[in-house]
Amino acid sequence: MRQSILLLVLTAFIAMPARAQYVLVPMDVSQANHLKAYGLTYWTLKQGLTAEWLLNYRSGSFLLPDQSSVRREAALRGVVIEPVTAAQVAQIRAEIEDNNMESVILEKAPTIAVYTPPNSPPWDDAVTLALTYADIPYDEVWDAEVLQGRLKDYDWLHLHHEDFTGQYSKFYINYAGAPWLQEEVQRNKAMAAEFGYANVPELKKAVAEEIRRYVAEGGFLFAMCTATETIELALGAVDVDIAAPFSDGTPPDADASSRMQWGRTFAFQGAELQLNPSVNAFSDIDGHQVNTPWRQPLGAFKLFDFSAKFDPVPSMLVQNHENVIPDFYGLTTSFRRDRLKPGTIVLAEEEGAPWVKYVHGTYGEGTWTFLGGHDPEDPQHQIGDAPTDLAMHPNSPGYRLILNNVLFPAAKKKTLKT
Amino acid sequence: MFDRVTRRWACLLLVLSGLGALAPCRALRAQEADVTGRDEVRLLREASAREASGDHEGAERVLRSILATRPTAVTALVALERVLRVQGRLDHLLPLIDDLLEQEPESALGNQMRIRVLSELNRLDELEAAAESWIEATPRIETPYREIARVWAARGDHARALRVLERGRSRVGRKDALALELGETYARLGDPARAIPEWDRAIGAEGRGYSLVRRRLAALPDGGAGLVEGLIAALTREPSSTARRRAAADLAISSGLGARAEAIARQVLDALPEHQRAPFLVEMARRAEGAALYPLAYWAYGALLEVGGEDAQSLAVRSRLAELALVVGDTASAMQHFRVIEQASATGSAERRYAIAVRIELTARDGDIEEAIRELESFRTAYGDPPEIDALTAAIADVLLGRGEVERAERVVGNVTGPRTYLVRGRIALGRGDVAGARHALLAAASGLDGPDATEALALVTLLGRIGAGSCELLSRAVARAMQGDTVGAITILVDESEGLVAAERAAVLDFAAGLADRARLPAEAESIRRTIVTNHPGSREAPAALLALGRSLAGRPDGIEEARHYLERLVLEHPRSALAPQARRELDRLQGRTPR
Repeated sequence: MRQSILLLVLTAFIAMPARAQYVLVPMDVSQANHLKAYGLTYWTLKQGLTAEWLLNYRSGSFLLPDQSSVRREAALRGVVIEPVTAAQVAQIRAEIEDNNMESVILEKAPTIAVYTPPNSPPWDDAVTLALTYADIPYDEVWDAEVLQGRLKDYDWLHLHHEDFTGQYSKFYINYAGAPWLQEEVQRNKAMAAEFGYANVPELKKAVAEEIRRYVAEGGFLFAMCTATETIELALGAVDVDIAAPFSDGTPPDADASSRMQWGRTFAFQGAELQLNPSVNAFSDIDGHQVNTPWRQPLGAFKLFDFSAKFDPVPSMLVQNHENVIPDFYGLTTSFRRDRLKPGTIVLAEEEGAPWVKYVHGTYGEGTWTFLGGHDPEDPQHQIGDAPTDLAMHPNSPGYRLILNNVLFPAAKKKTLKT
Repeated sequence: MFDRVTRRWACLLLVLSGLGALAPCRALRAQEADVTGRDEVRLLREASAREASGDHEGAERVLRSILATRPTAVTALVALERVLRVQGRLDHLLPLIDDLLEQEPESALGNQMRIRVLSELNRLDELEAAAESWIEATPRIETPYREIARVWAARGDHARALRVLERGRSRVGRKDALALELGETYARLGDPARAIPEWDRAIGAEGRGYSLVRRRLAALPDGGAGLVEGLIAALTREPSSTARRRAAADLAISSGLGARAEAIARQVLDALPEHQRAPFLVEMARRAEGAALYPLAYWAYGALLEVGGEDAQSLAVRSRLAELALVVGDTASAMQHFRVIEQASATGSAERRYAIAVRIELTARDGDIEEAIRELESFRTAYGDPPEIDALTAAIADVLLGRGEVERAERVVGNVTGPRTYLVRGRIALGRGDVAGARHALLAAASGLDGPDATEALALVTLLGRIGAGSCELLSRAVARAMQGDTVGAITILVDESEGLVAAERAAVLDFAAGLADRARLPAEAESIRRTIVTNHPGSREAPAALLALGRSLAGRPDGIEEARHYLERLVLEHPRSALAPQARRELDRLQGRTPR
């Protein structure tokens, strides 16, 4: 009798299907929506669950706990998931072990701040577009919050096409008199006055300095477009007037380039500033100089490979299902190689060109990452263009680079210190 | 010493010498002026080149040198405005503007530049003073008031702009002074009651200002929709004029007010001299057709026919008139016109053949089916297998089917082939429960039909693939009703009488009914039917499409958003493999602001 019962139990056990412990979110071409996959992973972390980022495994897949809520979210977001049993997971881990792959634990949903002026729509900033589409929440901060020391409340700060030299991106060249530009000028002047700065360039230098402090104390900074170049110029221009008279009433110092303090910057050094107020460029850091007569044509940039086990951070930042990505313009499109500081990690470049596209480095306790260009799916973006609809680009390799930066601060601290 | 004669000669000589000395001086001054003019052009070019190369200081120096010689050189002043703006030193332009105005106090460009610069520099006290100064220089001219108002309006201060304009009207002393600008300002302030009379004045007794007003109207945020009716009423109020009424008619057509336009056009026609009537009616007819105001076009062509004589042009007009008569439902007139066309067209011509075919069809629809059938036979004998035969035969067969004369309809159709006759065969097969036959006929019809007709035929084919013979009779009756134009009746049959069908068939029939409601623009009915599908038949093949359609229609209403979200999520979660799931996700993204609407 006892044997019969035991046999019965064993048979039932064998007959029961092996329950999946995890779901794999593949990030290779089998994924229907790469961008929302990042959102799903972020959502999982927000629920207090952990996730794993499998670097270089199927183009940077994620391993999430198999729960009904996770499956429901995946279904609603249109993210392809594959339930995997314990045996399959073991196989995956073995493959990771034997190859240039690594598993990184993601343990915390980072708190995100986007530096943006009030009343600006989210549709003109590739990062806010990506965050909104992937349903990743963020707060907006501007000069007041930065100067009040609120950045310490956030793990990750994003800058887009803000002009930290205080010259309103030199839009006065083509858009003088435009109501939106006048409004921007008024807003910035009011902010400068409120905080006791003589003019807007001085205000922006102070904001740049706070951001520098934020990174030095352990913050994660991601910048695109004009913000990359101009924050560097603002940081380096201590006691140097680099702004056109339009902004501060005085011409820039004629010897500004030679007086820049490049030791204070994150990524660049030795650049020549563009002091001509009629030339729509800030310095020669930008390789493409899109709004000048010497504009360079767009090519394509290639992502570098890194050792996932020894260089997990750059590996995380380049996870992608495409290796070569079509380039896209921005007020700052690319970075000249000969303006990079030693120690800067180049994550992507245009082969044979004197510029690179995507760079990363550490500063103090924190890290910074710069990606040139305005919108990966709008290579020739103009002011007033219709917003990019990411529903038309759910597999955008360019936007994956942005979202890699969003998730990487979620990695376990030990990994980030490697 | 000198005698009088000699003195006289000496004086003459002296005078002549003086004149001789003067001449080269004048020539020199003229030459100087000539050089200065050429130099100025050269200097302007030099300044432009310097500006382009970024040498703003150099450009400024050159332009200032021109203005130092000639303070009224407006080209240099305008260029200097640009250069100084880039340098953030626009305020340095003001003394130079003052120099210009000192020499030409009434200069419109100088004064306009001054107030514009002061506005850009936000120096409002000085702006007011400059405006006042300009007004005092030319108080009875509209320009200062117009330009000053424009500056205030650009600053968003329409109320202030209004005060300037009203003051201008009072000072200029004409009741219609600045009417165009006043009308626009009142319109932008949301005061149509004042905007309309102003624009009425701007248009004037002879309608000369109409095109200007029309442009300003179109530039308003609502395209002028809030003002059009009032403006039309003002233009047609006595005492009016032919020109004003024509303007009113044009406005009415642009706004889709066909009946109003026709009433006004009739008045205009009565007032026009004979030789102007035909061109006016042609214009009306074309504008009306362009705006899809067919009753108006019908009237205009009819009136044109009365005005014109019987010739080739009249025949063309009559052809158009006959077509429009069918569109507006005046079959009696259509019949009459087609008879005339038939008589007037050459024997064997395509126009005559077409006119005969339409006339026969109208005869059938009018109820004289026997006559129509006889004429059809004659038509076939005369023309064999012309392009019109398919539609004509099908129209007569439709009438017979409507009377229940199925066999007779079948005989009439005979061996005529074409999309319309295939539709008739499909209906006949459907009525007999011959599902395969109906599907075959409908498929053959669909390939020759246009847009909505083809869609409906194919929807029917799909449905027939899902239902049994028992449902055919129900469908046949509904389709017959729909073809007679009674879509509501068709839907009622499908919804009310399908309750006894098996679940899978009922869902399919309801889906077809919802499609009919969509095409007939009955959104409430369509929504109600789809709710029945998703509630009573959630696992049916039709459920995903019903869920998506409900989500979309509810998303358009503020009070429907939550329910829309519920239906769209249901689609994704309950039908994950449905081809419509990605569309549902897109709708959810739009609904929840994750993508731009």
